[in-house]
Amino acid sequence: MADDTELKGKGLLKRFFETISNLSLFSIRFFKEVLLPPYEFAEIKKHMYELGVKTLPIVSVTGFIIGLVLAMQSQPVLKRFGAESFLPAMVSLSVVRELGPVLTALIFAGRVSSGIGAELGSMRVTEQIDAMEVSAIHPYRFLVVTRILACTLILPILTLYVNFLAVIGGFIAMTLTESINLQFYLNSVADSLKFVDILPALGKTFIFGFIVGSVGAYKGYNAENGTVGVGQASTSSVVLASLLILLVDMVLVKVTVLLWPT
Amino acid sequence: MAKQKSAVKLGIFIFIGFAILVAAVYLIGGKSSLFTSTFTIKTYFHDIQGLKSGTVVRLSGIDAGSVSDIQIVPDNTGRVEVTLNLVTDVRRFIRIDTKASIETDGLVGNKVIVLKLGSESAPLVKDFGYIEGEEPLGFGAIIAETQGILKYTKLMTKNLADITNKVNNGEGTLGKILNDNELYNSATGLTKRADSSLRSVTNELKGITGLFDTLGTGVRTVVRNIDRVIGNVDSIIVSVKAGKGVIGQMFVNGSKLDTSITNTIQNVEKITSDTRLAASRLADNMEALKHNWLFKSYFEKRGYWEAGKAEADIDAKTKELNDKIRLLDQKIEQLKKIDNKK
Amino acid sequence: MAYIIEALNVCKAFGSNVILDDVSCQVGAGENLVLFGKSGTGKSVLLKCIIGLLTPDSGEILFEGKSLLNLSLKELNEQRKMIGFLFQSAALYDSMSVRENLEFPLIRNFKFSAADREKKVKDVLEKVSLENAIDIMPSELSGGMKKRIGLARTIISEPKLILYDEPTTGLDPITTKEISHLINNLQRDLKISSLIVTHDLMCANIVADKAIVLNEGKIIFEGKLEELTKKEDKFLKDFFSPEEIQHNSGSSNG
Ligand SMILES: Nc1ncnc2c1ncn2[C@@H]1O[C@H](COP(=O)(O)OP(=O)(O)OP(=O)(O)O)[C@@H](O)[C@H]1O
Ligand SMILES: [Mg+2]
Repeated sequence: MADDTELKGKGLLKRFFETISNLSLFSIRFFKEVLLPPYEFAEIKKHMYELGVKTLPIVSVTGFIIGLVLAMQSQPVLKRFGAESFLPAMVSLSVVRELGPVLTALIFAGRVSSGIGAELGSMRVTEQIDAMEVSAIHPYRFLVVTRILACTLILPILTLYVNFLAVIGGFIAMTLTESINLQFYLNSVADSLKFVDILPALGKTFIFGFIVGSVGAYKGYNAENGTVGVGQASTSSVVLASLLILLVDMVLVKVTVLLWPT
Repeated sequence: MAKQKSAVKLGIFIFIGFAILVAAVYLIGGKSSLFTSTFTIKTYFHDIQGLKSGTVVRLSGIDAGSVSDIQIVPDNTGRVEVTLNLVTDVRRFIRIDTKASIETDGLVGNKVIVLKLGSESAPLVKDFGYIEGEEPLGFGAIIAETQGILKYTKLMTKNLADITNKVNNGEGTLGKILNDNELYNSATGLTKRADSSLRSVTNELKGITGLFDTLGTGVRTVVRNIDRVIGNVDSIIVSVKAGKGVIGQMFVNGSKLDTSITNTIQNVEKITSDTRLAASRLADNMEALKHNWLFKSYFEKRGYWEAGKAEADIDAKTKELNDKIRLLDQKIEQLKKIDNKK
Repeated sequence: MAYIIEALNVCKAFGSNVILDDVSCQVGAGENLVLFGKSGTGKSVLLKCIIGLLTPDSGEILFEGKSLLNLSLKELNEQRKMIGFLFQSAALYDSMSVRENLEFPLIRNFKFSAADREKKVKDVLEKVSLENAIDIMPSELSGGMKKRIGLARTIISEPKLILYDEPTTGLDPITTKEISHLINNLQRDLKISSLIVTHDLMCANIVADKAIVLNEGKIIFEGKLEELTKKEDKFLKDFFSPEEIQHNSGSSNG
C-alpha cells in the first residue's frame, strides 16, 4: 500500500515536471512558428471575433459588478479616513492596475482555455489533427498559433473594456449614496490615472492572453484517451491557466514596481 | 523512455529557474538598494513603535536607504539598536549630530525613519557610527495629553455650568447683578466706593506730604547730606554704628518722630492694598459686564446701559486709582528707606 | 517492377504491446493492394507508420525509393503532398463546411485559382455522389456521407498514392460498388496507386490487384485474391468463409 501511493506520488511529480517542460517547449514553439508563413490572418480574425463574442457578456457583467462592489465596499472605509473624494481614484486605480487585468484574465481562462482545450482535444481524438498533418499542413501553425495569437490580442481589448465598465460601475455605486456628476467623476478618474498605471497593466494582459491560449492549446493538442481526454483537457487547462496567470502576476507586479516605481 | 526522462529534467530545470526568478524579483523588491553601494550607521530608540526591517529611511524626503536590522540592546536600558543602510550618495550629509526619528508616513500609518540634518561644522559619521535617535511622541503620550485637555475642558464646562446656575438662581455677585434691577445702582455704588477710596488716599497722601513738611528741611538736609557723603561708605557705617554723626543725632531711639514714621508706613500700606483691591474688583467686574453678551442684552433691554459713558467713567476711575496706587507704592518705598536708616 | 511505397521490416509496439512485428509490404506503381486483417491487428497502425503519423520502432519506409523516416517536417510534408490518406473515421474538420473541408488542402498546398478550386470541388463531390452537400457542415452528414466526403477530400489533390483505411465500411452495397469503381477509375485515369485496408470482400474483389493478410503482427499471406480463398490455413479459412466468398464472387462474376 505504502509502496503503491509512493509510486503514484512519484508518477505525479514526474508528470508535473513533464508538463512544465512540454508546456514550455510548446509555448516556445509558438514564437518560432508565428513568424513562418503561411499567415492565417483570416483564422486569427475569426478566432478573435469568436473569443470576443463568447466572453463579452460575462466579462461585461463582471467588470461592472467589480466596479460597483469595489466602490460600495471602499466608501465606508474611505469615509472613516475622511477621504471619500479619493473614491474615484481608488476604484480606477485598483481596477486598472490589478483587478481588471487579473479578473478578466481569470474569466477569460475559464471560458476560453477550456473551450480551446475541448475543441483541440476533440480534434485530436477524432484524428482531425492527424488529417491536417497528412495533408501536409502544419496543424500547430493553423490551429495553435492562430488561437494563441487571437487570445493574446483580444484579452487586452477585453481588459480595457472591463476597466471602462468597472469605472462606470463605481460611478453608479457612488450615485446611490451621494450626488456626484459623471463629468466630475470621470475627471477625477482621469486625473488619478497615469501612464505608469495603465501601460504595464495592459502589457501584462498580453502575457495573460498568451498563457490562456497556449495552455488551452497545449492541453487540447496533446489530449489522449478519447472523449474522457477531451473533458480532462478542458478542465485541466482552466486550472493550469488560472494558476499560471496568478503566478505570473505575482512576478509581474513586483517587476512593474521595480521598473516603474511610483 | 529516454525522451521522457529528459522532459522531466527540463521540467525540473524550468521549475527551479522560475523559482529563482520569483525569489530574485522579490528580493530586489524588498531590498531596493541591493545594487547600489551602501554604508551602515546605527541609532538607538527606546520605543521603535513596531518599526520593521526594510523600513524606508528618508533624508529631506528622499529615500536614502532602509533599516537593515533591529536589535534590543542586551542591557537594562531597554534600548533598541536600529541599523540603517544608507546609499553612499547621502554619506556627505550624515554628520554626527544628525538626528533620526520615527515618523508616520501617509494616512495609513507606515513608519519611516526620518533623518534631520546636523550642523555643517560637525564631522561626518563613520561607517557603523552612531547618530542620535529622537524618541517619537508615542501614541500614549498623545492620548495622555488629549486626556489632560479633556479634563480641563470638563472642568471649564462645569464651572460655566455652575456660574450659569448661580446666575439663574440669583446667587453670587454676578447673579445679583443679573437678576437684580438695582444693577445700575450697584455699578454706581461700586464707582462711589472707588471714589471714597480715592478720597481717603488723597487724604492720606496729604497727611504724608504733611509729615514730610513736618520733617521739614531737616529731612531734606539729611537726604542731601546722605547724598553728599555716600561716596564715603566706611565713614557712614562707622558713624551710624557709633550713634554719632548727622544721622545718628537726628534719629534717636524711641523718639516721637520714629513712631510717627512707622505708623505712617502702616497706614499707607493698608490704604494702598485697599485701593488696589477696589481698583481690581472694579476693573474685573466692569470688564465682565462689558464683554458678556448676556449682561449686555439684559442691560440694553432695560435701557440702563449708556454704554459709552459708563465705560469711559469707569475706565477713568480705574486709571486714576492705579496712578494713586503707584504713587503710594513710591512713598512707601521712600518711607521704608528712611525707616531702615534710622 | 518499381514500387511506389515500401514498408520494410517495420516493427511497432505500444509499451509492451507489440502490434507490428517485422512487417514488410510493397505497393507497385499503379497497383491496388488490399490489406486484410482481423479487427485490432494493427492495419491502421501500419498505415499511420507509412504516412509518418506514427514512427516505427524499427524498419524502413520508402516512398518512390526514398526514405520517409528521418526527414525534416518540411521535407516530409513535400512527400505527403503526393500521398493521400483516408481515415477510418473520415476525420472531417467539424468547424468547416464540406466545401471548406475540400478546399482546405488545395488552398494551402497548391496554387489553384478560385474558379479552378470550385470546379475541382464540384468534380469530386460528383464522383462521390454528394453534389448537394457542398454547403453543409459535417455534423449534418450521415456516417456514410462523411466517409464519402473524406474520400473526396483525399482524392481532390490527386496524389500518386492513396492509403485507404476501410473506405467502404458502413456503406450500402450500391455505394460500396460505386466507391470501389471510383478507386479503379482513379487507378486507370490518373495512375494512382492504392493501399486499401478493408474487410469488405465485395470491395476487395473489385479493386484488388494483389492482397496481403496481417495477423498477429505478421504478414501471413501475400498474393492474388483468388489464391487466398483456396488456402488451407485455418485462420484464412475462418476469415474468408466459403459461403461468403462464393456468394460475393458469384455476384461480381455475374
Ligand atoms: N496510439 C495508440 N496507443 C496505444 N495502443 C494503440 C494505439 N493505436 C493503436 N493501438 C493498439 O494497436 C492495436 C491495433 O490497432 P489498429 O487501430 O491498427 O487496429 P486495426 O487493425 O486498424 O483494427 P480495425 O479493423 O478495427 O480498425 C490495437 O490493439 C490498439 O489497442
Ligand atoms: Mg483500423
